[in-house]
Amino acid sequence: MRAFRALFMREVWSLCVSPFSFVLLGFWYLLNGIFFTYLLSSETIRADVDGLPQYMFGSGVLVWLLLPAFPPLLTLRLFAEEHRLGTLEPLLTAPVRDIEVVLAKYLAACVFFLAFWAGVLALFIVLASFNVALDWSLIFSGFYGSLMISLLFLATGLWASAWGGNLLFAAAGGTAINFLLLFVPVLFDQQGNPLQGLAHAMNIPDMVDRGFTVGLLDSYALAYFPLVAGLFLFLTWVRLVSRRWVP
Amino acid sequence: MIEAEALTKRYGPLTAVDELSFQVEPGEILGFLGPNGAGKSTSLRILSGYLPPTSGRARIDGCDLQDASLEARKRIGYLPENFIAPPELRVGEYLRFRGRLKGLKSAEANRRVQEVVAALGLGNRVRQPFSALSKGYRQRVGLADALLANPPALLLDEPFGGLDPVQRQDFRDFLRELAQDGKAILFSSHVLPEVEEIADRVLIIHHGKTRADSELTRLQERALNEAPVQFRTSDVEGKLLGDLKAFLHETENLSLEQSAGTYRVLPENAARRQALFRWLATQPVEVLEFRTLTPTLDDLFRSMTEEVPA
Amino acid sequence: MSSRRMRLGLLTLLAAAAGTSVVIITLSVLVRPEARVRWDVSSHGQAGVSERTAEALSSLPEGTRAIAFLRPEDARLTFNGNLVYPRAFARLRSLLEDARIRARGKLELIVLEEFGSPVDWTRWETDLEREPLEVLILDTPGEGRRKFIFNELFTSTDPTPDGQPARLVQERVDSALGDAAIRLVTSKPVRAGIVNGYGQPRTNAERGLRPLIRLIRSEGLDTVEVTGPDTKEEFDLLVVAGQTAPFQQGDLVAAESWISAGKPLFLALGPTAPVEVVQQWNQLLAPAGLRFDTGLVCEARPRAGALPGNSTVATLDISSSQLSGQHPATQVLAESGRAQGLLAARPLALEGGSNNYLRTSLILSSADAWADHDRDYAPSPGEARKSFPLAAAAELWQSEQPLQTGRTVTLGSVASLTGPQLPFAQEFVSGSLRWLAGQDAAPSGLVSLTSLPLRIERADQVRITNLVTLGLPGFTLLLALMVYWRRRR
Repeated sequence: MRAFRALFMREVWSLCVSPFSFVLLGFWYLLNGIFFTYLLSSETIRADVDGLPQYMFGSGVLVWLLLPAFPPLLTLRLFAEEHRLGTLEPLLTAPVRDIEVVLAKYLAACVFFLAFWAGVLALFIVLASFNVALDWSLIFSGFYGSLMISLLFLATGLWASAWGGNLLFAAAGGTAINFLLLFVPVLFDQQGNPLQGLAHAMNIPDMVDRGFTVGLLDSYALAYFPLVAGLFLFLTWVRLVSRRWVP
Repeated sequence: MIEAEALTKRYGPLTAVDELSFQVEPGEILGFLGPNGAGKSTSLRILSGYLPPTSGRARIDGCDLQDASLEARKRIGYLPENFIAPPELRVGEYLRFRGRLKGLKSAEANRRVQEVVAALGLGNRVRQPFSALSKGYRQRVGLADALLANPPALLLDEPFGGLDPVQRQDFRDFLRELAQDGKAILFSSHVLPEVEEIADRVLIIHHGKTRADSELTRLQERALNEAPVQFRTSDVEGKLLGDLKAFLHETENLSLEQSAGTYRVLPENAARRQALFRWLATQPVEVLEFRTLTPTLDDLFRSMTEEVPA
Repeated sequence: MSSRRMRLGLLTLLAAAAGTSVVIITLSVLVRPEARVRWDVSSHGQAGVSERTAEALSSLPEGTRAIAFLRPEDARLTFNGNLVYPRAFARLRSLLEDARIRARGKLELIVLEEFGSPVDWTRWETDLEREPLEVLILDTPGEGRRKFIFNELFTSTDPTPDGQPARLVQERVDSALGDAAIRLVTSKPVRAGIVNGYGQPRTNAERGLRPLIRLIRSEGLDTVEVTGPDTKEEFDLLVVAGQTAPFQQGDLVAAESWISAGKPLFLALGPTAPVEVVQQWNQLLAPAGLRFDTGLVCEARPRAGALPGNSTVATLDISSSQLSGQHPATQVLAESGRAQGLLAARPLALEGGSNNYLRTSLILSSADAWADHDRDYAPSPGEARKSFPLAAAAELWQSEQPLQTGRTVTLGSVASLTGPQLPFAQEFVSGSLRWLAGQDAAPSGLVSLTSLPLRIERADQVRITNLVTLGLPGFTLLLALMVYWRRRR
């Protein structure tokens, strides 16, 4: 546990002192800020301000495009960059369990990614400070949904990062998996498709638009994201530990 | 303390390490010698628990690296070749993190960091980011990392790389002190003088195979045994040649050289060298010079690693 | 050792496969509607379907389908901009998905969208005999089928000539679904007999009583049209709206015995109802203590351009404070601040009657209203300004059977039940019908979707833009620079 704590603290600290993380964070804030401003001047939101959380956390095209890409950019440094630099060897020869390494890195990325979403929450706080009445229940519910998706996308990013020292592969691979997870079920979730049942159960935009952003929390959606994230963490661990298993 | 038992590592058709077996006892320094690509780093990576062997067993302080990897790794201080730490971390931050990672309590980690930093002369570098350090200081940070948890076994891969002569001398002294403290030290190098100066025993490998595993004095004895002799005589016409050929055994004959009264002979052993000297004294020529051409360990190493075609 | 490599490689693959299987199995268990729990965390608490609807849906026969046809079909609602359909369809989809899950596997949801397969759309349309504007069809494996047009589920404003698009105001998907489900599972639903033989407005015309009949059906009641109470048709609730001729003997006797038997009655007589009709009913309702008074209730409304004598004075805005907060028929409306509107109402009186009855005034006019008798549409000396009951309810203290509780609702307006006026009184009528049908606890089902427009000054918007596009990212980048600079030192 001491090793886990040390590794977790080090990863958080590394993310906090890495200019790259801050540039990423600033870029995320900028794009979300632009999107937010655009929404404020759109006819839809001017007519109904309660639609804002739906667009920021749910149906917003920009969020859906950004969200699959940013977590892998953050997680690529966790394994791929360590592998590239050569710092992975000292780490993995230290008396620390592989699962501790995976979990500590993942949790650190999750904690840091909170800052990404805190910035989006800050946009609403800014709006509220100008005496705009907002339905905070929908904002927090949508926020929670976004955190859940982020949990999953960070796990896929971590898995993609564990495949070697190629940063491009880690970033592009993670993003590709996230896009697949996000949009492939949508394609198959169509009336008459034999795979519709399965696709519907994996339809993330549907879980968000018909759940989190309208204020409905569903036990399945609450379990789906941690479970699938857990699967990717398990695969990351298998990837890491198989290095010791397979001669 | 450090045991390797028929360690083999294959990458497809390539055998990087081939049936490597040895032991390093507490207080012993084993120099792991071989040219680049001989399999030294692979062997050390296996011993550090980073790579699994294709076959064979490795044990550290009795803990099998396959079956009790975590316990074994607790007993290892490992300095990889070209050691590198996360560039964004400062030296002090990194070492404290490593101390905690190796199971030291916070206060203990701080104390140990201070100790190793002082011992390795890193005192004025602790607030510098790792990326700002020179190669020599980076190696020191790596060694400091390996020493942090005070492990009984040290695996050092090319620890002298990038060090200047003064640093090397300091480093050698430091390793000797560690060995005196009872640590088993296995270090790799492809530079023989480094090994000569510090190792109690040397293990020479080439193409993954053990070429020699011996104490240094024995190796030097062997070198002496196999040394050629060169003598210069007044016999510029080469009249002695016929008698000399008759005196030498078949095997020695092959190494006979002669030019302007100078002969070089590779005797079978030291006794034959003495016999040759006595025989020469009885010959009707004036012996102007008689010299044993003692080979250095370097020559021996070269001869060992050149025997087997790549 | 290649066998070891194979063994371990296989082990790795197996571990990955095992992990994936565990997740898939767990999720396939959790995705089943029976295993799911849902929490409505929205501030209004109406993000999903109600417990009543969920229960009703879960009692549906296996294989029931809800088919949603999500395509904007009413051009009026997309005039000047399409603000109604996207929001309405999003809301409908959320509620239907919630309904599907909470129906415990009894409900299959089929959503046909605008950009989906046209072949599917046509097939389902033909199979279900869908009419244009029908947006949802609840179809049971038997004969039961319930269709909903868009306006039945959603109410919206009209687009304005000055360029404002139509806006969504309310929806009642939850209650409509619940009612339909109850109706589909109940072997014998409450049946309303609608009297049409005494000069009532036409029941087959949009400007007549057709919208009222539709509303009654949408409340889960079956309807049957009868010429009078004296009929062989069987029904549980008598609806008389806009009667213009007195009952003949047979029907009068039947009406009297209906009332004395304590059966439910919904009665609406406007200010133009003939005296004989009013007298007849006043006599019939005398034991209940309900009486129709004379005159036209008017309110001077500060509306620009309103002329005396114009019907605007007879258009009554009923704020939620004018609705009874004590009576089940109007309690939800009063509590949720829902306003209603009535057109051309006559005053009622609650007086006399038997002590067996409990009487309540459901709707009161404002205290500034007067009952106009001389048709000058201005308060004359004899026309005192006061608050008039416009709708009232009576009920027996004690009853033995559920549908013999003596429940009666009287309304002093018929115009409000017809054609384009009904939407303004729809919630009140729905509440009354529910109460009459014995569904006291059921809410009116209307959920307000009134949107909160974003009103910020131009200068404030510029400030917000600067803060969110320059301030926040700029601060973060500055922080990055500072970190970089400090750690390089």
